[in-house]
Amino acid sequence: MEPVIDIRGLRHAYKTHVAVADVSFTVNPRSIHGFVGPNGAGKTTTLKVLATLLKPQAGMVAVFGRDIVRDRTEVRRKIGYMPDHFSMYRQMTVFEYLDFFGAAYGLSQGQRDKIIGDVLALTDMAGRKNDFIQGLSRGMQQRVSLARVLVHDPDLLLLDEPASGLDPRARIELMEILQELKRLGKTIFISSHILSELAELCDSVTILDRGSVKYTGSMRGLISNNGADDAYAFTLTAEHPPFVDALSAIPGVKTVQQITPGEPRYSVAFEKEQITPNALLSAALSSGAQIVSFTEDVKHLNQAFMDLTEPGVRPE
Amino acid sequence: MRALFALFIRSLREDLRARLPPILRAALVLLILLIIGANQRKFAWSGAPGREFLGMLMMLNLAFIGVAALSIFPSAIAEEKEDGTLTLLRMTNLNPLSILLGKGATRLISALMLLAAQIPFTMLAVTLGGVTRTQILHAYAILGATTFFLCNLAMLASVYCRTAMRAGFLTGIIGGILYAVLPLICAITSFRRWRPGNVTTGGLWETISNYIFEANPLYAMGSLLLDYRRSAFLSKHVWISLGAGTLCFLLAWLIFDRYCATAEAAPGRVKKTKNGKPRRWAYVSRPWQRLPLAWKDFNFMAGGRFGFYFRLFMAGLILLGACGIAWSSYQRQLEWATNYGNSEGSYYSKASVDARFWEQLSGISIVLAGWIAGLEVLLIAGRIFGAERRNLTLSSLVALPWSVGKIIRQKILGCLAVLLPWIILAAVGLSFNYRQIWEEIIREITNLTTFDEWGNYYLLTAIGVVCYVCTQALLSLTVLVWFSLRIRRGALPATIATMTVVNVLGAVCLDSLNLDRRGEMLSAYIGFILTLITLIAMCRKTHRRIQLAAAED
Repeated sequence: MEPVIDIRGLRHAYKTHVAVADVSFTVNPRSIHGFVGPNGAGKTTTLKVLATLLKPQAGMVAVFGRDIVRDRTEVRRKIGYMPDHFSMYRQMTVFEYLDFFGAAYGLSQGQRDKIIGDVLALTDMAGRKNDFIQGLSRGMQQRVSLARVLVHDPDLLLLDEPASGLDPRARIELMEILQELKRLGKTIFISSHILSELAELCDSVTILDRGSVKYTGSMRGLISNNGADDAYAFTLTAEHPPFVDALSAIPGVKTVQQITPGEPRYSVAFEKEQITPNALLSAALSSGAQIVSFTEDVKHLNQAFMDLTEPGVRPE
Repeated sequence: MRALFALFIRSLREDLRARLPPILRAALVLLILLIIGANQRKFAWSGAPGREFLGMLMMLNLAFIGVAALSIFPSAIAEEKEDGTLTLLRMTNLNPLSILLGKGATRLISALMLLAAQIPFTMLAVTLGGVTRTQILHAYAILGATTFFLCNLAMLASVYCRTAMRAGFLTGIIGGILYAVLPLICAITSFRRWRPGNVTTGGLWETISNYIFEANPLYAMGSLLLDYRRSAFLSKHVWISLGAGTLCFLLAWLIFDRYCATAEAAPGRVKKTKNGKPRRWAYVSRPWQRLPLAWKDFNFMAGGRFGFYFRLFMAGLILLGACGIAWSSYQRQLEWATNYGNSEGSYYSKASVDARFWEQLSGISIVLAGWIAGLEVLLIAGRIFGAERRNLTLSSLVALPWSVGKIIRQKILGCLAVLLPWIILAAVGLSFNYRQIWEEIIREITNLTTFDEWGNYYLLTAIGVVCYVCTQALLSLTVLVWFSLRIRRGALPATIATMTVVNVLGAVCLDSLNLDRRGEMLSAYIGFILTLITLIAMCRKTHRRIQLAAAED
């Protein structure tokens, strides 16, 4: 399966300030890929390179297998870029705004009428199509921005922090629209500096910090404790010493730790090649412990993010 | 009291710390010295070089004040509205008066400082001869008073309007009415009274006319330069301008709460018809299939159909005004003809007077059409990409599957519509007198080509000068577009200042070479080639700048 986005060794600097250095990752088709990093990590620069607004100073960037420098026009037809600010003609109505971009992408009037109706329905803005953009709320303007990105039916959406500044309801609604777009077969590349915002939405994620990639892969891989081991958490009704002894004696179990001292919660780390979770549960029940819950022990997303990124502000 | 002056003092401190104001003042002083250098030979043959020098300087200053009144002064309050920071200012301890003082008065003081910095150098005019020290001081009093009035008028517009652009437009309209339309009407009506033997009576209209003329800085400056004995430091012009400026400031204070309570309080908010459709001045069609960006700029930059019809209406009014002036002059000449004789072939013969009527009508129409078209082109060039930059929409445009060249071409095409009414006006003006104009052109060309050996140089020089002027005009527009992509406000004054300094410097260099006719011809071509090279470089630079600005959005 050819990746939709293929970045290898991307580097871009603004005079002496290196915004991104040696960035490499891929994005699979029909997926939602999160692009996360603290402020100043280089997310927007990477997005601008992908949107063909900036030329990469080093490395190779391909979208749908096409080089973004050599085949710029073709790439632009296949992508929809939504910047991190409201970039709109506020004196136009919603319909005029979408109609203008539709015409700019070479759609005929009939095609425009149909697709504008569809994207307005998708973004729930059909009732406001005759409103001036300047009179719309922030959330509505964000929906219109998204509708604009969709008007030429691109296969890849590049969204730069689309949820910033939105209220919780508007955020949830935006995420629902993005899920719907994924179901329609679009690939979505979405940047954010809040990892938890993307946790339920994304299939894969790339974490960028200080211009370099700290993690790229599945969301599940990010939140597992480490690459080789699995861990499960037990919650008992009360502390039960035979439980710890029984589990520690099983070959393949590496550690049995009480998560919080004084509380009957334990984390059991084991080698997944040697033992299954079912065997763990059987051993625990055999020890006579009263089990309240048995769940996979994953890191909190924020913890994973904090572990991967460096503290403080990026020096110039 | 501390709160009242807080913003004002902060702005003054910022002005003192900033690097640009002293550079501007120094540049202006340099310009004065350059003007003397550039006109060295001309002054040597003049009876009153000091007066000529002062006149030049005053016209230059008036032009700068006019540009500032259209671009820098109107942004005082409107820029805060556009940035959405006015409501934040209102939440502090600052009251409307302190905001007006802080935002408006500092601009005024900066402008007055620019004038004050020139005075010691302008005194050189006394040494040149033909002008007195008092005249110079009175001239600066006129400039200061005009600046005061225009700054406060622009501030009133800035308080009233939603954007700096609209405020500039409103200031331009009011300024145009006060300084051009009203004096024109007064001049037309005055012609009626200047009949031979007619004794004028001091009616109300005459008193109003006098005030209108006195309020006009060009008239006041002209009177001062013609006769210094009648001038005064606190002349009528100064009093009228100071009074009108104070009135504008008070009005701005009075309406501040109404139009600046929130950004939406300013006129221009969304209005709808009863059936929910947006209310517009004129119908906006669907985007043009092959030229969508031209459609956008025609409708939302050049004013669309309404703008086109409005300009056409204004062109009609100008034509009517030109007819009025020419007709008054025609009537006057006919009356004089009856007194001084109108024999066949004489200056006041019927045929001669008739010809002059058409000549005058044609001349006024063509010249005004040219001036207004030039002004429109300058204003549009300052906004064509500047507005996209300010609205952060450049990235959306550049991300289209188009080349930057195509974007530029379509944008220019959309904005060209603003010129059409003025081209029509010029064509109508031309049609009134086309035969004579054609004969004149043929005569000039014949003169140029039938001269002796020098004649050829004249023709070649004329061609070189025409090429030079055309490339200079294009270069000015390109520089303006480039500045509009680099700086947020003040691209037009920056362009005018840059082009003036460069051209004056060029003139000084040429003058110092003391060229003969052959040298003059060569210098025209060298100037043309240098300008052409700069133009090509600037075009490439602007092209790159558009891409960079889109990435910086």
